[in-house]
Amino acid sequence: MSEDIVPLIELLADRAGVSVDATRLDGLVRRMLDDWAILLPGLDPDEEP
Amino acid sequence: MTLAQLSAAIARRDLSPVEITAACLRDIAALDGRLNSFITVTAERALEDARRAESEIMTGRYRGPLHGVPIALKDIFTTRGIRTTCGSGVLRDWVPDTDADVVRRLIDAGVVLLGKLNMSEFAYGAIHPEFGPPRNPWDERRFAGGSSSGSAAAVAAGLCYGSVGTDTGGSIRGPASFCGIVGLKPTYGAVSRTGVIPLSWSLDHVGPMARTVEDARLLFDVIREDTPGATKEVQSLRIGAVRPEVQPDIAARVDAALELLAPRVREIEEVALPHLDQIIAAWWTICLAEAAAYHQLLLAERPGDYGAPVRERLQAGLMVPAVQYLQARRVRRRVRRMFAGIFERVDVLVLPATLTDAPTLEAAVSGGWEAMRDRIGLLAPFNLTGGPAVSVPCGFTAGGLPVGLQIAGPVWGDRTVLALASVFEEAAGVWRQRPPLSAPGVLAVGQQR
Repeated sequence: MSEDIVPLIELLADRAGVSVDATRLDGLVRRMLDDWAILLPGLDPDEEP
Repeated sequence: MTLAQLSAAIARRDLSPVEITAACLRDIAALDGRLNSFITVTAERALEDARRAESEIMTGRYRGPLHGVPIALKDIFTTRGIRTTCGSGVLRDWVPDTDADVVRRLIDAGVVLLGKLNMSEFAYGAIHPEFGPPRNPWDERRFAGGSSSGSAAAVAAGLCYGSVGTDTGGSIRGPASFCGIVGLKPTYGAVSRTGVIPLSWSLDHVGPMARTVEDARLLFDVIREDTPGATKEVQSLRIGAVRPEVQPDIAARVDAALELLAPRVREIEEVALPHLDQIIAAWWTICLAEAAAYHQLLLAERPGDYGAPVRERLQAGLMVPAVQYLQARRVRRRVRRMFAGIFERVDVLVLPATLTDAPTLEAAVSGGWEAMRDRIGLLAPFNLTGGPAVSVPCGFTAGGLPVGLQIAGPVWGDRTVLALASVFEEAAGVWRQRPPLSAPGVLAVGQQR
């Protein structure tokens, strides 16, 4: 699966003007994806940021 | 000798700020090669401050409880004319031309500034190789916590009488717990962040670190803005006991602390903190995005000046989509409502500060991001709520390492949290124990009188 997200990491970093070793960020970004999966459940639709 | 005891002796003119400062500088020279708690020692400036304080006090111009008291600051506060590194190679040569608001308040109160203290790089959980890790005075092979690690180590070892740190996900309370001192994260906004290099604007808090609750209160009273909130009587307090799964000897110390508190408060009821995984996920998402936003330009221009772990965390933060940042902010609102509901039933929460005692330096470094996630688990929720939380020493593990008891309250409940911490501290008496690596010189000056 890391092959799937490395190009996206490179693209986003490039747009941010930062050069990265995308393979080293793979684990961190994957952990963030796990976190985002649990943010939404249980949130009241009316809850504002 | 505590800050409060020293302060009283200085006010009575029984102790000389110059003599005490010289003793601190001798102790720093003798011990800090092992502790590595200071990044910059401002010896000349300290002696100048001390001479000025002494002259003012001797001529009847006493400024208050911090006058002539030697302290040191986490190297995250800008200090005019003094290098401010934030523990990073990026700022290794930066000399600001202004003081942070907190620094100005302390200078106006007449403190003696001994120097700037070591810390995790940009307060982001990893040590930059140029500065190396501070060591825990209870066991030099152990981690002093992060990110206000130098502050905790220096105060615990008696190299200074107090410090001011910052806390984004537990960076005051974690090191305080690991090093056996008191660390207060006040209510968000109680202390100005102007002149503090940010990690995460909406999660950063500034607060005191000291040997005792009274010492922390003396520092807090100088650095805080005008803050609302009355002190509730301790005997009227309803305590919510939170008993998460932690290292067994830490759980035992916290249970014993609650038993000690029971006759001193109105009641204790069990409270569960739900959704901790979601809380930590929201904390990380907010912190990653805000830190990356602050550092984006520097990351593009000077990536090689960051240590690798912090550079990678900041780069990863650039990947956080706006939608997920907003979802995390929505979770934060939910968390605040949830805690507001809890604080209608109880006045304060009592829980362990950390899941484990201080890990070895090796384990802390090799554990990386996951280890940091574990360390903030019981601390970061109160950065999301913005309410006050203090870590106060409550005993030792089987291995002889300090355990911190965390007392948390509702927004602007700072004085109540400190009042309960003070009652506990007095009853437990743990603060009197000193670590194996501590400064005899400072104590010796006090004991001579």
